[in-house]
Amino acid sequence: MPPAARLLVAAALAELVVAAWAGWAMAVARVAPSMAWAHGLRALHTEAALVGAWTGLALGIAWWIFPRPGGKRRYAAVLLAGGALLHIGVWLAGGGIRAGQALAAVGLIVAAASLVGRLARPVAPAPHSR
Amino acid sequence: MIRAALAWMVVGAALSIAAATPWAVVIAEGFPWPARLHVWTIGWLTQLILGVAWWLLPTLGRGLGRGPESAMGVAGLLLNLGLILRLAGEARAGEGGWAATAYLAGATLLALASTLAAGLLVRRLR
Repeated sequence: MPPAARLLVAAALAELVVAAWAGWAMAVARVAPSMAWAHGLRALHTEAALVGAWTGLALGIAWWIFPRPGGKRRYAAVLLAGGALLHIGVWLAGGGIRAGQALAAVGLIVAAASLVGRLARPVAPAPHSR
Repeated sequence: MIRAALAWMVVGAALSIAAATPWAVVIAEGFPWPARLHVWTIGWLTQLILGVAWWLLPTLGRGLGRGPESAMGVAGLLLNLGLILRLAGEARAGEGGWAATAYLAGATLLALASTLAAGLLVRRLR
């Protein structure tokens, strides 16, 4: 697995854990009034799960397994830059800064741009078509 | 995990269909929207993603295969049990009693399952 995809998938798995424990804290807050502050974790819980974990994981794995025209996975730096913006955006949004959602969306588009050309033409016939 | 994910998808679809019928009020009371949302997001999506990742990511090499299958099985078990407990307690968790206990136990199992699965998968990033 190439380093860029590895980094993005590792970050996504970390976000999954963050989302899970933020959800746990919110559940405790519903029962224990002393944990009321945890209701403020809703944005972090949602952003970390939807954007950080699932989308980050999908992009990292797509960049790894998609066909490689010319035998190369290109635009690793674009994937990493997009992934960084995506995760910074998630944390800003989770912290209540609304611009974070826009930053995460920009990161998503940039990271997705690293996949350009990867589905453009068939590389080899599928085994069952031979 | 993928079989369980498919089963949760059916449950989520059944709840969505029931919510559009004359039983909508009963469904909304028994399974408020966070519960129904988590059927889709945890039971279906997260579990499917974790199952496919376990199958797809590079093996550990040196004859170690994918790693401890039993540990991933435990993660799947905790995740499904956690979701069932959370669903059982969600509607009345604020009133205390068994519902609050089930709700909190469910949330704890879900967090533990996610942490265990992520820990098993991150070793495979090679």
